[in-house]
Formats: sequence, structure tokens, C-alpha cells
Amino acid sequence: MHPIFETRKLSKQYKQIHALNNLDLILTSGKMVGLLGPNGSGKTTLLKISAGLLTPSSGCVLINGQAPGTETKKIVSYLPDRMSLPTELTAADTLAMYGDFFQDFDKEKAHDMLKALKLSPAQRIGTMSKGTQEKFQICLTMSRSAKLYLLDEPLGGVDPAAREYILSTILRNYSENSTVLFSTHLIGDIEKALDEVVILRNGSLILHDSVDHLREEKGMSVDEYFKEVFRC
Amino acid sequence: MLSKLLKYEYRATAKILLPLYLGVLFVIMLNVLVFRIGTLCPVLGSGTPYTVIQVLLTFLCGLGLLAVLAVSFFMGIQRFYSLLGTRGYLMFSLPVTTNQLIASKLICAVSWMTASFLLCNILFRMIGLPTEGSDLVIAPMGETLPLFVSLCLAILSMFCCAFLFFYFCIAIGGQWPQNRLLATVVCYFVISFLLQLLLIVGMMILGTIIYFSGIEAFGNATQAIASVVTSYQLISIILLCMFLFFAVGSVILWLLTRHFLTRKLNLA
Repeated sequence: MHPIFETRKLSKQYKQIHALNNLDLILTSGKMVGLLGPNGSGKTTLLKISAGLLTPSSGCVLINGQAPGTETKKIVSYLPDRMSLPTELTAADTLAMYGDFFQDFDKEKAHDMLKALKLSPAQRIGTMSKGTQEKFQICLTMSRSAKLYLLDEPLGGVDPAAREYILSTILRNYSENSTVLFSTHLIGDIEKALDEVVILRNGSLILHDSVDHLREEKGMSVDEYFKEVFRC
Repeated sequence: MLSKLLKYEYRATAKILLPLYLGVLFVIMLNVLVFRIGTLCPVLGSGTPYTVIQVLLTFLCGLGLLAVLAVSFFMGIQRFYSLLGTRGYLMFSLPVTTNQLIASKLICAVSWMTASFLLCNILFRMIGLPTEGSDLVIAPMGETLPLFVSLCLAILSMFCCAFLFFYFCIAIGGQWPQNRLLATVVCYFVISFLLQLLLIVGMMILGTIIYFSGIEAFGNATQAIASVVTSYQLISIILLCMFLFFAVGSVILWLLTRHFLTRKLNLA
């Protein structure tokens, strides 16, 4: 059986900068994985390559045994680190669009989330506040029954209350067979929910371990370990 | 999936273009109405206010048509440009192929451009101005039918080639991490210049070949062709050659654009 996510000697170079450097990583199904690292460590680049938005300089990514393409996009639910939804569409139009393109999109679940957010389906995305747009985008992403969720900084730039809402939305809506690869700086907020952590530095993998093993071996929380490794 | 992409593409563009088209069509109708009133009732149509209204409406029609053409063309390009920006994060995450993405943008852009040309034709027809090939649009029958078909093919392939050229420049400009718009504009001018240079060199080579193979023989061959075919057929052949030229250009530009969007995709 294929691992759900695999990178083989994955590298991405922007002129002189190595955003990713010979990264080898394997993730199995049913795991909540934290992708950690300081700014510029290659987290976003890894997720963009995996989502098929960037081409690697060398090496490859395999999702369920396939290179990123039309087939992998059917099973990958990707949340970018920015607002990418068409602002001229209403919430209802966007749900219809997701329903049209993604077979695994659960419209009922999405409508329930809209209600919980107190969002009118007729409201245009462009008129929503930045925080609401981010919440709406995460609702869409998590309304899919995907095999792999790639979430790029879903907690970045939102207030603590919104952060809590986003985190609970993620935890409530991913199935046990799915894998969530979750990039963040805010380790303290998600540490309890994580099964594994992947830590990157300058595009290279410095640690891939289960959270329980890491705590046991190092005698400290992931947050504390991260601060110790990346202390300025 | 292409039909779904087209549905959203048309919906997004129609929100802006349809009101504009309807507005221009309304001004055209008003213009025609004023013109007809003047023709049927010379008493009303002889004063200065009437002339001022007619001139103003004709000016508005011209302005409206220019706006329709410009906005249709600009939107066709802008929609593709946005694909390589933030909007691309959604579009490239959809389970569709790059060919489908390019096709949806191109079909939508070309159909709006065609619609704006039809609108021009309606205006000229209604205000009674002669339009090139206007007889063909009314009665594409008999001998003029092949001419009409080849004219349509030539125009459509020209639109496709023009849009794909811009798409290609945008795809190259998208390779730059910053200042993508500037990079696209520079690419456009550099590639246009190189293509023109290539065309001039090609024409010079062709001229030289004709000169050395005997200018008389070339003249005789041309005359022989002209004596066999009618003028309609001759124009049809020229239009079909144009169609072939633009169709080949379109295929090359499509393949190059697809190459950049699949093998070298680099969303900012």
C-alpha cells in the first residue's frame, strides 16, 4: 500500500535560495501532522508543490502513489495561506462551485458551517471581513471528505477566538482515515491535537517524529522543543 | 469539467460585459429610432436640435462600440492573467487539466470578441453604413458561402492567435518572482519584435527565391491561377491561407503556454 504522502529528494531553488533541499518524507494515513519551522524554512513551498501550484527543481512528491495532477487534486483539499476565493461570488455560489468540481464535497456540512458562522448564503465574499473570509475558506476546505488535507497557516493572522473556531472546525471535520498536514507557527494551540511533527530548517528536514515519542525522549513539549531549537 | 469551467467563466465575465453590451445596443436602437423619425417626418428632422441629438447619439454609439471592443479584449487577457495570481491558488487546485483551463479562458474571450464584432455589424447595418462583407452576412449562399465560411474561419483563428500570444507572454512573465506585469509587457514587446523580424526575413527570402526563379514565371503562374478561379474563390483561398497561418500559430502558442503552466508553474 502506498503512503498517502511521500517526497523523494525534493528540492526547490529560487535563484540562489534553496527553499527545499533534498527533502525525504513519508506520511501515512490517519495522522494529524504539524509542519513546523521558522519563516523561510520551506513549509509553504512544500505545500504548494504538493498541491500542484509549483514545480520542483528536482525530486518528486507522490500523493497516494501519484505525482500532483488531476487525479491527486480529487483527493487533496488544499487551504492556501491567502484568500483565493473569487470575491465577486456569494457564499452560496462558492458552495455550488465546490460542489460542481469536487465529488467529495459535502454541501450539507458546508451549509451547516455557514449557519454556525451566521453567514448569509447571499453574502458576497468581498463584503466579508478578513477573519470571516478565512473562516469561510476553512469551512470549504474541511467540507470535503479528502484523503489528504494540506493546510497552510490556517491559524495565522486571526484573533484567538477565530483561531479556536478554526481549530475545532478542523478537528471536527477530518475523518480518521485522512491525513492532515498542518503548517503553523502557533504550536501551543495545536500541540494536543497532533500525532506527528515535521520540523524544517532552511528547506531540510531536521525532525520527523511522533509527538508522544518526542515528548518522552526530550522531556519537553513540542512548543518548548521548537523554541529551544530555533532560539535566536 | 470544461463545461463547468466555462459556466463560471461566462458567469463572471457576463456580469460586467452583458450590461455594457445591452447599454450599447440600447443606444444603437435609440440612434436608429431618431434616424428613422428624421427620414419619415422631415419636419421633425430638419432643425438644429435634431441634428445635435443625432450627432451626439452617433458619437455615443461609436464610443460605446469602442468600449465594448476594448473591455472584451482587456477582460479576455485579464482573466488569464489572474490565473497566475491569487486566483490561481483556487483554479489550479481544481481537478481539471491545464488544457481545460486554457480552453475555458480562450473560448470565453474569443466568443465575447466575436459578440462585440457582431454588435458593430448590427450598428453599421442599422444606421445604413456599408460594412465589409455585409452582403455575405445576409445571404451566405451559392458562390459567396465558401467566402463567408473562410472569412469566419480566418477571423476566429486570428482572435485565437491574438489571445494565445498574450497568454504565452503572461505565462513567460509568470516565471519572474516579482514584477510579473512588467515582465509580461517586456516579453510582449520583445517577442513581437522578434516575430516581426522573422517575418521580414522570411519575406525577403521568399522575394529572393521568386526573383531568382524568374519573375516572369511567377507572374505567369499567378495569371494562370487568376484565370482558373473567380475573384470570390481567390479571396477564399487567401482567407483559408490566413486561417492556416493563424491556426498553426495558435497550436504552437497553445503548446508553449501549456508547457509553462505544467512544467514551470510558479505561482507567486
